[in-house]
Amino acid sequence: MQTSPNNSPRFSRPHLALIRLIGVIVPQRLRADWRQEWEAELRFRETLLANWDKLDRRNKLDLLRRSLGAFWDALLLQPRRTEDEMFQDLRYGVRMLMKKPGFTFIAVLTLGLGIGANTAIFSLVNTVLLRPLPIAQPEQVVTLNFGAPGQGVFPLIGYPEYTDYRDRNQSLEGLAAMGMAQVGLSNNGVNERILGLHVTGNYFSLLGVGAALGRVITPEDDVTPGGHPIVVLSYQCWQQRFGADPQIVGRDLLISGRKFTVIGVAPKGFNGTELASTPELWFPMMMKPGLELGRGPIKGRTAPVGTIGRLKEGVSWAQAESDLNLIAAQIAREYPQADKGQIVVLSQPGLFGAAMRPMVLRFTAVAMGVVVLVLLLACTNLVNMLLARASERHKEIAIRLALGAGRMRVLRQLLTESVLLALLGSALGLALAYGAVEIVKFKLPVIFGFTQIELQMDWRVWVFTLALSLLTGALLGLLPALQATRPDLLPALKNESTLGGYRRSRLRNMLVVAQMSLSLVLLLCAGLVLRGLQRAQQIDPGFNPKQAVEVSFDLDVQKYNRERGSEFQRQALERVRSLPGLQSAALTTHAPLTSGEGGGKGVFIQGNEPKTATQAPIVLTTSISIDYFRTMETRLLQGRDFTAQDNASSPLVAIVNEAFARRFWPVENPIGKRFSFSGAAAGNWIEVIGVAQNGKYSSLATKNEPFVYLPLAQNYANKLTLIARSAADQRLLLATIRKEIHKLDENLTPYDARTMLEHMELPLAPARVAATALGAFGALALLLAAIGVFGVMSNAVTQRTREIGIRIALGAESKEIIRLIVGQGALLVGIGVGIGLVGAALGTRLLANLLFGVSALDPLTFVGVTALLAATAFLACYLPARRATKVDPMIALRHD
Amino acid sequence: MGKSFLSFAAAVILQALDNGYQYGFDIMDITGLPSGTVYPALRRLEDAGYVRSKWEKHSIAQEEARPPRKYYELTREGREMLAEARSRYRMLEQAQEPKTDKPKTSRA
Repeated sequence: MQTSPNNSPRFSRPHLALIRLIGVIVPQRLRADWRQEWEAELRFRETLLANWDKLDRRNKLDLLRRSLGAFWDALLLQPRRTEDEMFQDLRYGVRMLMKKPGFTFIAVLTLGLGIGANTAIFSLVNTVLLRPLPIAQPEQVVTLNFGAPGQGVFPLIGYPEYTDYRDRNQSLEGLAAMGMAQVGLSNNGVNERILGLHVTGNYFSLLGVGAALGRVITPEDDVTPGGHPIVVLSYQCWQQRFGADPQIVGRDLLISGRKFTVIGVAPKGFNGTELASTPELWFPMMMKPGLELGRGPIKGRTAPVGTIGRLKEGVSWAQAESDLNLIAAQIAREYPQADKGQIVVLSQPGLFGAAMRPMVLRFTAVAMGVVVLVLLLACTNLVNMLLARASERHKEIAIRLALGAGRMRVLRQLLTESVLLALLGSALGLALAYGAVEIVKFKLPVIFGFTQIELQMDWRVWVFTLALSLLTGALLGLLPALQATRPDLLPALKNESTLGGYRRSRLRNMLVVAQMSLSLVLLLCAGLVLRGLQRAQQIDPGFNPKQAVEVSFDLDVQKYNRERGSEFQRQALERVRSLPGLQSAALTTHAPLTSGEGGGKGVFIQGNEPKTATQAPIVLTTSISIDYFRTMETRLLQGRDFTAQDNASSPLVAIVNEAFARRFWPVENPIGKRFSFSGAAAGNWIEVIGVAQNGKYSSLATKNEPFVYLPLAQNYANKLTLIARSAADQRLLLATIRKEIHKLDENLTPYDARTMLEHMELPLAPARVAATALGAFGALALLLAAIGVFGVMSNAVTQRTREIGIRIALGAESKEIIRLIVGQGALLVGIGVGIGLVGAALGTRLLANLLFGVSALDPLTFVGVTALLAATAFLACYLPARRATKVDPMIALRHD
Repeated sequence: MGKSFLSFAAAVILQALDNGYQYGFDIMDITGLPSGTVYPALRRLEDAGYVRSKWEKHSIAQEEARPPRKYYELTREGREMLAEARSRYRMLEQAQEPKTDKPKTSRA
């Protein structure tokens, strides 16, 4: 249809050149017509306007403008091309998949498991690391961490220092502070202990968070200490505890025994800035007691607050950090006692400043690594299956190529099939991930010590899964497709096996080796963690968790003062001790191996005092009642136990553990030695009266942590755990103790009521989850690897049928045939195991803190797991080998 | 494009076709719509069956030493659609005069 172009060269007429160029994106079957239509119009217009050369610039521009419009026209037509071919490919792909339902089923299932695991883990990564906080410009918001050089940093500081940083800095638009508080909410006769947050008046405006109902806390609400009994509810709290009552604003609530007026409800989805603790109530900071106390960065001081700031426009992190550190230096000069050597480090908010991020990062990195490995394994298997299929389809493809299909076209067809598989797999994977997330939701808070966490399957997860499945599809399809479309047509058409067969099997061999090594790594990790768990059960925690129960209660929640509180504690102990069958009972502020609040204090040894507070070594402490050691069955090695004579008016005393004694008085007798928590100047010397055996305090993995026991009578605390030892039924005992406490104060809600054995499970939860996950993935990996080996060996037997037939005909015995085939497999497995062992040796150290002292190269695990793998692989080789011995030489020799 | 609803641009194009402007560029001239609107609209109208296209005779094109042009005409459905659109967009008819002479050009 096209006529010859005009004499003038095309490029002197840019509008025509443009049409040719744009025409490229028009579907091929429409292209000629399309170009002609536009060209004809433009050229007709040219002749109409007389000669091109004489046209003035305006008309030239007009023509150019019109031809530019062709782009929109072409764009409209563009989808039709891919539509046509894609539908063809898809139809064909679906037909091919339906023709082999068994293969399709296994492939989709394998991919579903692999992609599902990835999606589930990614939704965790998404929630804790990727999803921005629901606040205005979250990237400008930073958390300040405080510490001394070489001592680590912590995102807490005394309130007085906070005001210094807030008022003196040049780099922040604002700096807000917040302090967590457990409060008792009385609602409809039910008392519940929930998390509240005291925030400064600028908190909400700094974060750019408004109210869903009523108003939020403003600077005017945060002026007079104790003078602003108002509260903002979280959306969730309003929904769940108050049934979304539209009249909630203005209502008075009884919180920790005091009336607070609800002024508003925070917007949906806003749960503060920390993932680990989601407050349900916000109070003005001025309602927090003890704000003016406690200068200094050390955790455990009175009323420390967390801080969150917003960078000024155009100020970088580094600039802000150096600005804040200048202030730190000023403060250190003004208050050398508390703040000497203070430094400020900025971090992203969300994971308790810089404190939790490394742990979360490590956990997610390991988890992500594992699931990617599993997916890789699944892919290798499928590639193997697809390779086998590709050689079956060799002839079909050769015919297509011979009939003139372009290689790209055939490639695209094959890729469509594998992407189709991957998409089906990811659909299954998403479903599995949704299920997994539902389960994990309840387990996760325990692992990270979160109060609550919502795993979110938002658009990022969807995009990740889609991208992953496309990538997987491409990965799966490309290798087999490239192999299958290699253009050596003649032998294929003649149905001959070619050298290509050898090359193909070499590729498949490599894949089996890879599979073996990957599954070995996974299994080894699982084995090591299991060993770690086993070891952890045997660790002596320094007390006897059997036949003991614990119940915690927080007198702060009901606003007990010291006098009433002491009386309550005395009565509670008395009532519990008088229960039938009870051996002993005691109170402590921190039961060992409780996650969360530390109770760490800086220690000054008399005669060997550090110069400043920040240099004082920090040790964990707990306050205990009389009979604690007998109840816990912790041995006293030296000295005496606390008695009723150690009370508020007698000299201060303490019992230290062996590690404490060894560390501070390596040679001397620790009994009678003195130390202080408040510095040499302040005095308050505490005398050591006893030495207790070492135990585990903050985690099972620690060794020889120094620890101090203080008498509760000299160190009053409102938040306590009651521990009781009895051979009676533990459930019944717990119920009875709760009842007794209820009798004493019906407004008090005991929490964490459980047996000490259940208590011991908590620190093991991460390892248990890891062992379960790794074990499941490892077993899956082993199964996949076994199928892989089996497939390769079966294929090898088929390929060597003729050779085996000849051997048998020449008198080879079954034993020799088996040795031949199994030997070939053993070589592959051997190489795979070798690589896997090296990989595992490098990788398992990442697990170190889940191993509880088991070496990352534990020989028993390495030998055992390798043997298991080898045995499985041998079985996978043996079955095809036995088939080889059944080869009938007569048939084999006639084989193609 | 819905069966029973026509955008104003599409209605204007149908009206132009009815008035005798059959070529894409002529339609652009008379309606003032840019080519990036007119052509995609024509394709959609053709897909919907309101418009059909034909190539002009080869001999005419050969005389002018250019490829044959494509022209568009209304189908029966297109005419019905236009009638309906006229009742909706009441100014449509007055918007353009029927074709009498050669198309205006920017040089005119």
